[in-house]
Amino acid sequence: MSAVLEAQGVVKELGQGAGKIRALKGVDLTLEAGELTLLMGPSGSGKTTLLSILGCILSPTEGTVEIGGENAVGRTAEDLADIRRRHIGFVFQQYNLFPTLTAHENVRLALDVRGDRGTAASDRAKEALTKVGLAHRLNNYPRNMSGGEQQRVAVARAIASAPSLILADEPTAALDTENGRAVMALIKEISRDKSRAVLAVTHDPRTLPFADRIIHIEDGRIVSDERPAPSAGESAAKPEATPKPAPPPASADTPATIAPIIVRVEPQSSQPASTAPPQQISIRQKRKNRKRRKGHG
Amino acid sequence: MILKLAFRNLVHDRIRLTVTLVGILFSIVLVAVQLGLYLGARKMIVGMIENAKADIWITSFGAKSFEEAGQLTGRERYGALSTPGVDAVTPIVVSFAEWRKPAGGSTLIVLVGTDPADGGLAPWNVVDGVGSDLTTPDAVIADRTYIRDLGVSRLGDTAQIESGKVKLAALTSGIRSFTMAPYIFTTLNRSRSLLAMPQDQATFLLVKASDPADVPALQSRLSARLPGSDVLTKAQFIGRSLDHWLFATGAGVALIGGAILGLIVGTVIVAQTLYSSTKDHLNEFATLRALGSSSGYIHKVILWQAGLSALLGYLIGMAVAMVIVHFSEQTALPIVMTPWLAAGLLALTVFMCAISAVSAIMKVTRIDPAMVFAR
Repeated sequence: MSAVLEAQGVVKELGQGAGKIRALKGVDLTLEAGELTLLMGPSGSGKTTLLSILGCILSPTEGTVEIGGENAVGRTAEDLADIRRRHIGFVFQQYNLFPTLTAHENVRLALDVRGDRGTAASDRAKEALTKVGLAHRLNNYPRNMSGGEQQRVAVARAIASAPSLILADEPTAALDTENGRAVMALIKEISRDKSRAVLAVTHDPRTLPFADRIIHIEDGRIVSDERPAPSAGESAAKPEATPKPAPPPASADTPATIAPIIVRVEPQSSQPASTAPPQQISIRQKRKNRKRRKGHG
Repeated sequence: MILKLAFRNLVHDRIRLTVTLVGILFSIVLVAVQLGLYLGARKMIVGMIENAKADIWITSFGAKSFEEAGQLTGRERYGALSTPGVDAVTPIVVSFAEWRKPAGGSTLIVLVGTDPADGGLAPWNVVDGVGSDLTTPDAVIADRTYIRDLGVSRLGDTAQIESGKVKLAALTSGIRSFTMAPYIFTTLNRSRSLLAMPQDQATFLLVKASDPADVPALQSRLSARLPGSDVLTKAQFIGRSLDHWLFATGAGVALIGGAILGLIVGTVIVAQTLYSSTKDHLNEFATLRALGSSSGYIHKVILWQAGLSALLGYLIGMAVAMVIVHFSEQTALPIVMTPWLAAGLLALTVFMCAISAVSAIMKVTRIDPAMVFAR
């Protein structure tokens, strides 16, 4: 596997004067091609800030970011837009489709932005939509599509230009269980491309079974970086911290070869990390988990 | 895709599109009417001067316009005729006079005494009767626009100018007066008689140059020979008349002011609707930016929105303006629409909409693509 993205010592300060806060406090991260990495963490932990920096939307206060070997720090807004255009595809929580354009036009627009026009671009847009199973919905407007279908259009838009990095922001948060699983399966599928890395920010535990790698961020620092143990037949990817295996949700769509895990590394922040053992889960949480498993079934 | 996105953004909100188009329509109609009136006024002011076959006009000193000029003494004609390079000198008489209607009452007219056979100023666009009928006894020619104001209805009807009897011999079309006092053509001698003027007096001397290329030099020679008169080329007399009626009286300033007001109103309305449309589509523009579009790409979308609004608004506005122009044709204050004015209005509309897009472009330039993660 080759590194698609390398970030070193990324610090981001937001605000000014007395209101200034350090959203990221020195993040080192490398994303390898052919992997689906999940970035998890509580609200305010710096997930979205990190995603924005890795996506060349924000510039770091300190540190380096290289995408496809290209330095993305200290560049102008137009230069960053150019890097995004050439290297990055985005999938957003609320899909961010253009309501006045059809599915096919939405995908074509992303190609048009890159200067890809004409019949070839139209064919590539169709191909991308076919890849996500929407060949029959080319001429439908977003308002006539389900949330799952809209997110699949967004995935098609992200992959149409064959970027080396796909960044997904809570891709399942607005979807029900079934659609969320379908979209994650799709994202997992596109991450298998050996020329592409996928990073998804998520709160959703349903996404865990699909991950090749799980990064936890808290208080602006990466507190754990794990590769779930592959089951027989999968190529081994050693976890960097000791995983605590948990039973996989019963789901036909869940890749059987990936053992979902819950990883916990002591955070280096001043806030004490939760040390509650699994058996101390509250009754309410148990009920929630039971419901979720039923949903998966 | 830029054009498609711009069009879809535009028609997505029909109510806002309607407001935009109504704004542009009002603006176009207002500007078209004001500038059309200006052109109409210009045509009326310079109509006589442009239609006279003269390279040079000799007037009394300080003559303001065709209607407002003093009388020449009569000696000027001989001075002009003896100047090298002069082919012909034709006197005409122009003066305000009173028209007494056959059924009672009177109105002010501008009496034009001319002998068309001498190659001076002949009535044009004769639509009823013939121009040569002017030589018949008591004959006058009027424009059909004014026959109701003159209290006559058909050829052969009689009236009085000052104390002399006149008979309507022919009607013209489109010879209107900016002063609202109708032009009445008659022969030179009859006009002198009606106005009780000496036989050799005239208001203007129309000079035909032997060599049209020699006009500037001829003007200098005539000026030297006739120091008590104004010697003006056709263009200079047109300019002086326009200056007097349109700018010295303030009439033209009001028309141009109205046109500028129309432009400002249109610009503000289009700017407001474009800005609010851009604000509504801000998330989409942020998404475009996040997808890597250059700011130029987004500016083009907004400019196309402005351009399409301009085009649609222009077509509707011009359709309404043409209806107004049509209905004004037979009035004493016609609105003139020329191909140049129509093309100019299109350019003005596009310019107005482009200026309107500036506020929207400034808004979108400050867009933070990170907002796509904050929804």
